[in-house]
Amino acid sequence: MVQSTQKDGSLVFQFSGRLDTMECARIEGEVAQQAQAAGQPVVFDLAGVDFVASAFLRLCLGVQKKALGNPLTLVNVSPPIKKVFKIAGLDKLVAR
Amino acid sequence: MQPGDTIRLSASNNLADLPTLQETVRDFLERRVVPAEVIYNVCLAVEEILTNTIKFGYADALPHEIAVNLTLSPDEALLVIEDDARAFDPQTAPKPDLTLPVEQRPIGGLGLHLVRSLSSRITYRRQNDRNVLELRFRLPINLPLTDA
Repeated sequence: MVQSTQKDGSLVFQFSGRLDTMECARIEGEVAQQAQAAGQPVVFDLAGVDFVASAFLRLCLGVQKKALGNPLTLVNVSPPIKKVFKIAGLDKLVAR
Repeated sequence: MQPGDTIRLSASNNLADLPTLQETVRDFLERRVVPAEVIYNVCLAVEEILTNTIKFGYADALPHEIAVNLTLSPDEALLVIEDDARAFDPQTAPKPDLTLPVEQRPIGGLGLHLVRSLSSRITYRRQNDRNVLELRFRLPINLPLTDA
């Protein structure tokens, strides 16, 4: 599941639950469209997420590619998910 | 946990089957006090391998069965996935170029890369027109010997 809000000049998406293949297919169109239309930095808050599959990595890549210079940052990422991003070479997207 | 504890599951070639399958795998492992990191890795392997098979493995639109067996021994979790999809060894999939800047990274190829990185050993064979894939996940040596 995902909700979006404006905060401190960024568009923040709050995800929850398991971001598996099916869930990502369901949400990625809307997330990508909102992120691209926003024209501002995008934040993915994963505080409520306990599992991501490669489909979510692809969603992040897709958003970053169309961001037109605006950064994508992931926050509140649990250790196992941080490890997944690191293995995929995408740990630069994860806030320290 | 009893030595050689096994669960035998199956899914159809339909992505909608995956969440229920995942829940069953997770429940089986949690009841046996398997560490959360190993549970994550096994579940991710199930997700990525089956997604890949379902999306790319069949030339027809017919229903197919994918067998998923999981066996726990004191030192490892053994995941065996068997299907009648076209022949495919996940170890032969090209590795993604992780040195590219994010903006230039291709979208695909990450799922199998994750599976190869998070499992301790992968064995593939083609047998009777079926793919038989074995993925092993090492367990910490101080796993308790009884059910929680």
